[in-house]
Amino acid sequence: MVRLLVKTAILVFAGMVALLSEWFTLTRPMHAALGRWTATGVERVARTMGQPTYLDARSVHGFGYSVLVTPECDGLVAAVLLVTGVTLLSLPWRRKLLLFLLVIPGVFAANVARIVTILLIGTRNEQAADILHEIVFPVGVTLVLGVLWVRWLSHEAPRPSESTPR
Amino acid sequence: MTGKPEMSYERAGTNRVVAAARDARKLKVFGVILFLFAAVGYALIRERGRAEGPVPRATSHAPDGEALPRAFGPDRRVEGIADEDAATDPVASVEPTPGQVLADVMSIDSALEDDLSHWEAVDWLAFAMIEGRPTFRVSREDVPELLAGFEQLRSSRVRQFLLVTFGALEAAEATEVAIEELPRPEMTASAAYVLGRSRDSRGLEALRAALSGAGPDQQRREALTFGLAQHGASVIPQLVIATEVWLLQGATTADPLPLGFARSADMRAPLRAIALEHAQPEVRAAAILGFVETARSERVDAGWLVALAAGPAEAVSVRVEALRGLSTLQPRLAAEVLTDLLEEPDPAPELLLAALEATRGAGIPEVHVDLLFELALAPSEGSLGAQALRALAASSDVAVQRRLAELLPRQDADEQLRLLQELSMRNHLPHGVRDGNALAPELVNAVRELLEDPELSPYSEHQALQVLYSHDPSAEDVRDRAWSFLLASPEEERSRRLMMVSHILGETVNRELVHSFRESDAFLPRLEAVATLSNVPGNLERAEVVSFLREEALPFLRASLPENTGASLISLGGRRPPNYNLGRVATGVFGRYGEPADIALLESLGSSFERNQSAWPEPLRKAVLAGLSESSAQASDLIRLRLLGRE
Repeated sequence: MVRLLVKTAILVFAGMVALLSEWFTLTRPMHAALGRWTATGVERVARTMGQPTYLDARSVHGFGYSVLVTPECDGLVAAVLLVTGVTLLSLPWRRKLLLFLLVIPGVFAANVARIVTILLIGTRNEQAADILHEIVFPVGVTLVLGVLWVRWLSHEAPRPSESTPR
Repeated sequence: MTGKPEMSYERAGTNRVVAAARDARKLKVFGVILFLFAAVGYALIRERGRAEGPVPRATSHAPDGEALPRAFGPDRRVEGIADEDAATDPVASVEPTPGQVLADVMSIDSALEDDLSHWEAVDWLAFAMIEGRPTFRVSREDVPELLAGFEQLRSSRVRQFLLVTFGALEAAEATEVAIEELPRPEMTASAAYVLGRSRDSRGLEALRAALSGAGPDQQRREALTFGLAQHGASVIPQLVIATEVWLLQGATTADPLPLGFARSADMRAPLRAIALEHAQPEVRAAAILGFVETARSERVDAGWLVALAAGPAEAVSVRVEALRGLSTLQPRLAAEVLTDLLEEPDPAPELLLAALEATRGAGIPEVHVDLLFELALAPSEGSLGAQALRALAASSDVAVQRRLAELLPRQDADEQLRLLQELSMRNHLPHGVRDGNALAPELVNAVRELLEDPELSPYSEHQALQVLYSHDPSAEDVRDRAWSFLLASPEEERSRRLMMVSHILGETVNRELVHSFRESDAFLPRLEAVATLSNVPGNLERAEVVSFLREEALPFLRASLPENTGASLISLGGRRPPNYNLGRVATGVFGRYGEPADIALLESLGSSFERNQSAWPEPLRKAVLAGLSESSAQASDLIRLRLLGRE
């Protein structure tokens, strides 16, 4: 139980650090670079989908609608939380490594997909894109993280069978 | 044994299992609660960050969130841009060539934004040139030099501008060129203007021939007739016939009628005779308009218009046009007509409207103040009410302004905005019909109090700032409020607001723009800083701004334009303000400070665009390419113009 509380504390701390990292001088360049990569990814995907786009640093401009990848939207917080969660999982390192390979690209791919969706919808209906950005995606991401968090807890909680003396 | 009874081995094991299961459930509940707290906390932090400004919105189209907000503030100083205002341009000490003068004119104030394909745009520009002749440092002697370079010019806007210049200078030397340009639809209006003003018989013949072959193309016919009307009194019979034909075809007094195109002083007497004697009221009205148009920049006797405007037996169209003429030529006479008009039983609304418009420049006779307030406050009066409000807002009468001060806080948001707009429009009233822009202290206080209202819309806030600024351009609190107005703006509004208040903020804004240029890592925010810096009034006469544009902005544009041709997408489809335009900035900066070596770069922008944006859909690519090619042609033409007459 104590071990679980320590792990939870580490996870919460990592989440807090990731959350506040956009205001730290040291981590700001990291966000800037991540923003550029994400914007580049968004621009390439949107262009492949036939969308006229123009990439300018962390901004992707579509015809009539533009997005700016800000620190809070570059996926770093989610990535840090998931990577920390996987690191703390009571699993063999080989399986953890596999999970890392799944989680890290997965988070950034999902983020690129999210922003591309906003951009594509925004060029057609600005209001719908705003609803998507302000409501649908934040709620969706929160729910997904919530489910993962509860599953993590279930996995890490002391199991009845483990407690049973032989 | 005391205390708890001893449990059996199995029982104890079962209890541990149950307890562990209970712990796991508690942990899940704890986890959900903790997660909810974290989610709410995150949302709050995010919201707080957004409200404070430095954290930009994820879908904001402002390309760099952190560059501007922290940089703004009246006390910041940026190294590298001098504090003191330099009185002279470093290049102004050398006498500019005519080509340089024209290139300077064309590279500022978005002079090339106006398409001179329509006669009204030509007329407007020509009037500005003729009016500004004392300061417009190009004369008829310069025409041969400018004509020699005309063939090299690729941009139709630059060619149009040059033709209008030749027309304004009444340059007969330009007749040949104008005849050649006349068949091109985009050049017809400017070429026709040259042919009419040159008073050359070949020009007149060409205009007549073109008119007879013009067919049903109304815009072309208007442009050619406008050109013909410049020629002088000898073409009046033709203009009368054309006016009658246009009226037969269904034109009304609201449409342009050929007699109204007149601009030549020797037409005044015949036009006056037509206005007084012709049988058709619409022809008379058009002749009055023509008469007024021949006298826009001179003082002429307009007393004869009073009888027409005040005559109850005259047709309404004649009276309306006479009133409009009076408001242009002798506004104080219009006030007398208004008094007569209000004594008439049931005057026509369009007459009242014209009379109110006329009194705007003349001041309102005291006896009409109550009536005008009644009209302005009546909810159903529409344009009549709006005109009455305009007349009241233009008044310099302290009593009227006090009443407006009482009215302002009682109005709803739309009415307030309208009144504020009218008050800020006082600036545009001609000198001589207003006593400066000073307002009564009560009205100033009412506007200041309005600014305290947290519900005030940005449009009203801007108008209120305008009113206070025009009342006292040196007021510190107005400048501070303008900063607050700017800092409170959402990311995507900032550049628009900066343009709105840059004249109020004055020179301080330059340092902030330079700072944001140097801080940003993206192309568009830097371009935006350059654009705004070039557009702040008076900036192009400031040595420190000129040296920044030459030494930092120009190299930046040279290095980054070929890679960023896709930025043209913004000017076509973006939500940016219209000044956020790649082509226009390039035209402005290269056109003003560019060198001959830049022509190759500018002319290669089209092929860079084709290469960079090959994936764009064809129609979009064509549209952007057309705009980009025109802009780069403008910029290189301006460089070419600067080279004319220089060895």
